[in-house]
Amino acid sequence: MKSFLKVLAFIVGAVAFFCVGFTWKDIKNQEAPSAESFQRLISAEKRVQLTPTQLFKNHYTHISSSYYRPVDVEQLKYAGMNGLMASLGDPHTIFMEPKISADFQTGTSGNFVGIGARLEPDPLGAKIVSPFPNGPADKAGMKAGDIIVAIDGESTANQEVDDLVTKIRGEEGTLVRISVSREGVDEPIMLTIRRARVFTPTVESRILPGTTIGYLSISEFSEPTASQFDESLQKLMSAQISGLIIDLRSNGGGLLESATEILSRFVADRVVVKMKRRNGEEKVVKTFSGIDRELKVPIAVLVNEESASAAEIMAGVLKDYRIATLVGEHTYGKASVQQVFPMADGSSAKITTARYFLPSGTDISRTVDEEGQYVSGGLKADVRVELETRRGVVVGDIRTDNQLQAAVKVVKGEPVSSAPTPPPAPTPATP
Amino acid sequence: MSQAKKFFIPAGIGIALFASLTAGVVLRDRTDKGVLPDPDASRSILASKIDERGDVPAGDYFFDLAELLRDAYVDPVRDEQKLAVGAVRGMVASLADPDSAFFTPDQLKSYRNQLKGTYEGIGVEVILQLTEDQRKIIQDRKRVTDFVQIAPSLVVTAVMPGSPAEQAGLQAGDRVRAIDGKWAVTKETIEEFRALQAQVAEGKLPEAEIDELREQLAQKAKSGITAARAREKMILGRSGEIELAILRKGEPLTIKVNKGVTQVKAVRPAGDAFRLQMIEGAAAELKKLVTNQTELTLDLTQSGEGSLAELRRVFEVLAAPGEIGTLVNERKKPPVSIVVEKGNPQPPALTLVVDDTTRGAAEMLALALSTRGQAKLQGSRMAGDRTYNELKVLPDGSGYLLPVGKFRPALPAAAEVKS
Repeated sequence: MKSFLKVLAFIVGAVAFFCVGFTWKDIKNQEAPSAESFQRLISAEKRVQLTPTQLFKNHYTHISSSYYRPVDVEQLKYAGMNGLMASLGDPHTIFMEPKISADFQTGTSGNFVGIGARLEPDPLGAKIVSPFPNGPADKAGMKAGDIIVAIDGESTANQEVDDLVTKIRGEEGTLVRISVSREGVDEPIMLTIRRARVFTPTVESRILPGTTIGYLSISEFSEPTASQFDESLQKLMSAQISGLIIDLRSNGGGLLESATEILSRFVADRVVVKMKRRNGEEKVVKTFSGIDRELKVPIAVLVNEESASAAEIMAGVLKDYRIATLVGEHTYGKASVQQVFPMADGSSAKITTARYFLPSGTDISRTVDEEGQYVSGGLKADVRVELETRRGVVVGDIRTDNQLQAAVKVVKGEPVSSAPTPPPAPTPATP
Repeated sequence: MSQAKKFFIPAGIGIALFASLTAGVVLRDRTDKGVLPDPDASRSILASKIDERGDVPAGDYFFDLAELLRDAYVDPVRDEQKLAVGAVRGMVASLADPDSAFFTPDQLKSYRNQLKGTYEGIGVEVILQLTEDQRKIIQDRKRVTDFVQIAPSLVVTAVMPGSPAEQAGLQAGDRVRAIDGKWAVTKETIEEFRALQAQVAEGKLPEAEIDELREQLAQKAKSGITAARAREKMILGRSGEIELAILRKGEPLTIKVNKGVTQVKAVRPAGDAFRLQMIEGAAAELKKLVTNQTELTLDLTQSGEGSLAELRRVFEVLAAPGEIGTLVNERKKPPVSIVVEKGNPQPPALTLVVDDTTRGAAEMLALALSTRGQAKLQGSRMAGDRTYNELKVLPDGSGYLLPVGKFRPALPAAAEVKS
């Protein structure tokens, strides 16, 4: 009994001490004990776990109502979706709001209704970088260097290129009147152009001057790329080239189907990539048979860190089957496949759904350090050559592009020193 | 044996009692910590329903996308809460408000420690500073053709007393260019980079010099880090040394500083005056001071952002009861009033020393009390930072600051004539 009382006294004492301890802060501040803190102590355990959707909604509401400046709730929603996708840490899994989603569609299909010209910003409106060969603008007489000053009689000064593009595009078969100012011509020239379906040129080819080597560059893999490639290759082959250089530098990829179709010109019925999905499901992509071009000339492929995705697959496959030598720098290292899922309101979600492996089984996934700088991954070039940063280096120009010069040597079977080549002696101006 | 028993039992009881006392203190701290140091009154008033224009309500949108990821993403999505936190992070970022911020759990911890006077890193406050023009461009979402139009400067706003930064000679106003040889991408460094580029492009210099410049350029282009990341390197971590390349009044300097933990007191004597840091405990310390003194000089320079929760407590100690100011918004909503409830019926006559390093909570204090005629301001113009931020904490320990208004001091009731 006595010991029971002792224990009771001890417990009461302990509780009392605890209370003194708990209110010490108030005692120190000479305030009444905080009832609120006691309440919080008791209710602390009863916090409800919110579902992710509730959590998101709470903060969506909080931000949209409490922020002190006006909030565009639709933009806020899309920003939330961007953040949701970004939280996976995969730069290729992204949310695309309606406008971006539509642009993306145009980009991969490689065709749109317009006049067929590449534009760049200019204070007066937009400058024509290049009209697409045989496109509506080209046929109407538009020249590179022309500056668009008015569209359908409306001045284009100080407008964004994006907005001008929207005005130029329209229904197939309709007319658009474009005034351009041209150097050496006083008055603006009015061109009336019929809008038509235009295919963005993604392949460019020529015989390198002073050689019998064909040069073929692919800027991206869109739907018409394979047929554009065929056309260019046909031209080069009928010129009896002794070697081929395929330039995939700064090619960010595109459609795997297009790359596969192009690879079918080099190897028939062989593995391009093995794709693995999350559920372990494996899909093997193979080249087609029956359209092997039997290219019997040495081939070099130019790559750099901006060669990614389908471009890496193309380079990797040509390397793995010993069809081509890779020249340049390591590639980006994107070893994943994305699928685009459309959403109800016109936006879409691009999601990484599989990883791929090259025929040799290599995983080329890129790794970066905490600053986002490249650490490893990508394809290694067989002949490593860094592009010189000297002034006047023009990519694709045989006189100044040292990576291209190295590729020429590779194709000719000459030795290449991987060290940067000394600057060439100044060439005398040709009269 | 019984001798030992006689000694150990009371000792054990003593220890147990002391333990419960300590447990009480610790638990109180914990429960209080679970509560955000946010200015409570403002919340309910600002929260009002807004109408949704989008076709798909935001919540459904979130749900659908999360489900899509669960089904299709290449890796299993284990932590769905992370998706929600990511979405909140995205929303905060989209405000493009230089006064808002998202904190990862580590960043939030360090932020809250700062509000208690514990500074990690080199012991400074450093901000991403924008000019008025830049702020306008960002907030009005004007299209930007050149990043330099919105690139911030990385500026030290307060060097904490007793910190490694103070010992190394860092000063408020120093602009950071590089850390450990990595260039912070700021307005200043971009401009430097451009000047170098221009020199190379002009090509007027001797070939060897041009090559050297080109090399420097390539180096700078390769090793850049964001200004936000550079800031983090200065304020996080408790050990190691960093090398800072700074600009002081336009002159480049290099300073090596150790990292450590700096404990700052809320109120410290400094000559005849007291230097005030608006951190936890400031109100309690001031209360002791004002009971003995009717006149007081407070030095508010290098104040740092400070805690708004503490500011409200300080108002209760230094100001007479009544409305002290309002939070104004740009949304045509009524301003929210900030009221000193009990207050100090006999507030001391204050002299407040301020300059352009006085910002945040300290600036609001100076503004409110001087407008009321309760304090004299001495020194020069303040930083102009009167954003009232509310802190929200997310379940994973991350959090964000949301600006809910700008502080506007209330005029004394008798003198409501000019604004």
